[in-house]
Amino acid sequence: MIRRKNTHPESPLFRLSIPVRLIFTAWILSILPVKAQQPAVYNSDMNILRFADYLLRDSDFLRASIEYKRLENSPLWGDSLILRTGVALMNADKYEEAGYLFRSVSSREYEPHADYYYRYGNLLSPGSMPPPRGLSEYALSDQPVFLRLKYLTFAVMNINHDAPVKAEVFSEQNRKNFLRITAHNASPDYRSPLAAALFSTVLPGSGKIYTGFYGDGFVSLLMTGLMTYLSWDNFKSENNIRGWIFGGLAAFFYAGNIYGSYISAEVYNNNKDEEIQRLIDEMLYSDEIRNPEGLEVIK
Amino acid sequence: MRTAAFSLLLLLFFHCKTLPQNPESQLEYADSLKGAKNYFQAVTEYKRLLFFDESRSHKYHANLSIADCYKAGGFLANAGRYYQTAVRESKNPDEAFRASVEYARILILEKRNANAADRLNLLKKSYKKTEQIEELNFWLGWAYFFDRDIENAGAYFDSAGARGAVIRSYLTRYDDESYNETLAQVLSYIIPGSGQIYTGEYISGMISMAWAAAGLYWSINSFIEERVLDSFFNGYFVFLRFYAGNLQNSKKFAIKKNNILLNSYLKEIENNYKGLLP
Repeated sequence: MIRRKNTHPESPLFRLSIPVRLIFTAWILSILPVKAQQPAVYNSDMNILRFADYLLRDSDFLRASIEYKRLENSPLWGDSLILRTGVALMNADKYEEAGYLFRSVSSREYEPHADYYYRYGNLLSPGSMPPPRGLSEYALSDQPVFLRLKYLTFAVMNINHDAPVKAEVFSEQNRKNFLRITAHNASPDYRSPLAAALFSTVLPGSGKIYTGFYGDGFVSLLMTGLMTYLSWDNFKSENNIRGWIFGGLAAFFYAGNIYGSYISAEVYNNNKDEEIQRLIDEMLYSDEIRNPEGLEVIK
Repeated sequence: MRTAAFSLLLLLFFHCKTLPQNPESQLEYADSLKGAKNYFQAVTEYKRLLFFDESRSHKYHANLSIADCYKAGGFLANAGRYYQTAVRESKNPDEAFRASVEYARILILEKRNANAADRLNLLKKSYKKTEQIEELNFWLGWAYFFDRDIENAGAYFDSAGARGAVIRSYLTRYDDESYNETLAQVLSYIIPGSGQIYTGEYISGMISMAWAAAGLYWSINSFIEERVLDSFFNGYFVFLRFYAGNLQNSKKFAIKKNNILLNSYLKEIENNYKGLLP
């Protein structure tokens, strides 16, 4: 057994009485340079909770989640804090971890909250949450809060029946958005790129008019027609060089008009998709859906 | 036994004395994290200080430090927000000056150079000490440098005292080696393609020159033959198409090559320059 020199009973320190030894130790402690450390009071459980709640309200979600998790072994830890941690994690894009926390909530008081936020997270980032534990009873709930989330989920999943009736559960702006989303889903207002190209092949510019680019359509028609006429006129007057120049320009405008029409249909469809996605995002991040009344995580 | 108990109490007293219980020690703790480049944790601790410190005596320092940490982590928008709060929480003109300058540096990094210049010029009206004016000129120089306005940047670095002299030497070298964008365009106005040739883009220059000449010839030729419509469209679709393209390209090539040169100088400055950068 290795025995350290200074702990040997014969060492000078051990020849002193116990009180003198304690005073000596206290003196050593008091003169030692103190390493920077936090005031202990800032780290009491209650203060960590207060600070975490402040961070959550301030939308500093990652820090809030870290502060909440410091309370995992504290008596304060329970479904309310699990829920807050989950919401903080979900907003910090840590969906999987948030999902497991929501699934672990079991008290009757917080089960509706956890179920709501679990399904809300699934809508925000489909496939990122862990699989559900089973069929949720709240999926069948007729409370407006749950109906809103359910109907929005249906709209995102392209299930559109009874849209006008379902829209009634939403506030005014969300109702308008919901009706536009479901109307688009039921009968998408798209333009066929092939049809646009075909129209422009038959009559230059008509494909662009079909996709709503009226100005471009008329310019295409005018330029292709004019260049073709100038080419024909120059060949007729036996000026072949200019005939070929204008013929080349006519071919360039004609081909450009067909390709442009195809692209304009794709642009039209992309714009529609982006518009619908914007409406969905507006609904997802509206207060009514994101912080529903009655399901606040911080009272 | 009594002596032992007394000694134990004494020990506890000393021990408690070593445990900090005030905002100053929290500030010191946060500063130590910042010093150790643990920026994420440092921000948390500064925020904790702001939340718990009822005396509100460290608001300036904490906000400024949070902004520094966010800046170090590349979160420029957050850094800018906290520098602005630090300006509001400043207790004297020197503190306000420091936070305002730091905010202007964030604006430069965010490429909001015009905003940075406006802000720095505004500060010049309030701060008249030579050192302050020189510092403001130094950052104005950077704002113009990043805005590619080398002439103004040079003028400001010239008025920035010793700290501007080093950067000024890089600018002088850049000035000597860079292409004159105006000259490139003027050359192209006179002889299509010559601006591109000046910037070293010989093939593009020759193609522009050939098409512009052919378009002009065909247009004049049609006009002489009294085919006005042919002349107009030849002039418009061939000559003007390539003439306008040549003007655009000469400027574009000059800017592109100057940007490459500027970036190489910025890289050199980043590696070799020991002074402050935005």
